[in-house]
Amino acid sequence: MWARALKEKVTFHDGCHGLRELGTKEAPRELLRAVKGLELVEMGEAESCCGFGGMFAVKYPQISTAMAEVKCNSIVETGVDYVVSNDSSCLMQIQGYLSRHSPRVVKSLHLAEVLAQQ
Amino acid sequence: MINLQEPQEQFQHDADRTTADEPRRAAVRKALGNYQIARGKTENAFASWQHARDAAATIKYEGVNHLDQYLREFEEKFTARGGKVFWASNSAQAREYILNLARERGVKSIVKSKAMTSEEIHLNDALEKDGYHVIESDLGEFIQQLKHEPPYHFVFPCMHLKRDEISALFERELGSAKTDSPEELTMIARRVLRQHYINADMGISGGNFIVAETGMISITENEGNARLTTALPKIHVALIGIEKIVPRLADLSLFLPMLATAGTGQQLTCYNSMYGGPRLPGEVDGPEEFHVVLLDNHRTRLLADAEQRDALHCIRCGACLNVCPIFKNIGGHAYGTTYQGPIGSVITPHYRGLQDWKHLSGASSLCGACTEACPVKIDIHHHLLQNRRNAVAEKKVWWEKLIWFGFRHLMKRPWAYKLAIRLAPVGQLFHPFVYGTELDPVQSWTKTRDFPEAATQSFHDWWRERKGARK
Ligand code: SF4
Repeated sequence: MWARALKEKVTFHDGCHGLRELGTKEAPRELLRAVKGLELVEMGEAESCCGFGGMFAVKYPQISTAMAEVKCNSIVETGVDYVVSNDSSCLMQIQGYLSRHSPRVVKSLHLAEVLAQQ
Repeated sequence: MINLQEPQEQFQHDADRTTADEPRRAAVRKALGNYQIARGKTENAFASWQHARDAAATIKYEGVNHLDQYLREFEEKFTARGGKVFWASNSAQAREYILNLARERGVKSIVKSKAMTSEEIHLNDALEKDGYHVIESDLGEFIQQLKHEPPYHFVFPCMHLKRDEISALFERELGSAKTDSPEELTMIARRVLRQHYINADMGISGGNFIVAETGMISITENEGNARLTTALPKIHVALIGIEKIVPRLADLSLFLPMLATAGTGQQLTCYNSMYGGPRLPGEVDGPEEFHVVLLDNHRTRLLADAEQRDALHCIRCGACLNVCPIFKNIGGHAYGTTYQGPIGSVITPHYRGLQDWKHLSGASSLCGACTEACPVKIDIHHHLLQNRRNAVAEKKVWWEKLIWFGFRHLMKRPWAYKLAIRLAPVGQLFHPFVYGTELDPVQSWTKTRDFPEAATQSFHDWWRERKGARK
């Protein structure tokens, strides 16, 4: 996806279950840092929930969307082109919001997708 | 008959309104961002915040699981010094006791310091209906009282208001001049309040801890108003939930800094006072009568629930609200409860009925930020899950049942699952015709977010065909 020589900027979204149930904070970042040509830029709201939450996302769409807004504004602010996470539900929510509302194209990727490019 | 759907509908409606108010959300986010920074620093002042949490949870476990013993120990020691203890099973009994007392003693004017229990039993309404003049002395509560609004947050009652809104409120209600200075605003309130302390013949407070060992109650505050409320009027009533018990005085050496840290990011609140009863012979100040009303009001119902009993460990620090993304986006009033935020969503169904208040447990992404922040290690977000389970076990929701029935059958049959995956791209061809409209089956998603495109190749197919796959 990215040429080796090119610098790609990504930010990482901590999925709640990975972060708080499993206590995984550094491991995915370490993996990302090991990818050549990739620069990790931290966002302010990295640990904030994206607002997915399963049925919550459709039962309380207004709250879920407000949470996505906070998350995605923080992503866009970093100036990255990609947001990476290891939770596909979060990515569905984040991509869903970004494609509709983001002023510029920011794509979401699963950590495995990034690593599989190597 | 009460319409059972009402609180739920009201909640949806209020959440629609408050999530659309981005300036207010941004202000709350900023204030709580500052809290987070301050709290982070004070947490680091503990040798180990995590060990402190373990210790606190152990102490509260001990207290809550021996409530009978410790509450009686408190009563015995407190009454030995001339204090009075009243055991209120419910809000009506608590209100009656306080109203009777006011009536018998010919009370006219009442000054109050912060007490969420009094919000819980709607004490102000009852007192005012009987003709008493009641004034809140905590600055935030004072402002909310002038606004005729309940507290927005049980630790920061008016955190949602901006300075100019408070100034305008004071101009309107107190006739003061417009000002942008927080100090001046405080002085305006102080001038009004001082007079009331002197005139009041009854003081009402809450209490942060009940210490069994010494028969005392502990009140923590930042403004000194609770001290004046307890010291000046002749009669004092402290209205406290029974779960506020701690066994020993030494326990406060952990809980006072912990409450301050988790609550506001302070190392200690400005005033921490202990009260052991009325003024004794030879003492220069304090009330002549000191009553403690121990409030159950369905706390024992929670106590009977072994799975969620630890919710009674709560020291009402408000940390779970401060980190909650739901609270930050819908604000405190949308909950429609005395206790807002995650802990409110856990306990309100126990206090006020599961079917009426179960929606609050549903209105969570279960992100777990609350549980992580809780100083006494209440398993808050799992309790929300248990409330959901209990609500469904008690009363099924037909359309949810239908969905899970379909889902279960699909997931149990690989052929059906594979078929559904193959049909998804075909089905999606028709989606644009109804996208985002009432006919769209996923409208509540597509109204605000794009729906992901179904992949043309399933993961299964890709896995089978990938290079080097074993055939
Ligand atoms: S549940 Fe925990 S975090 Fe929330 S108010 Fe109570 S003690 Fe504080």
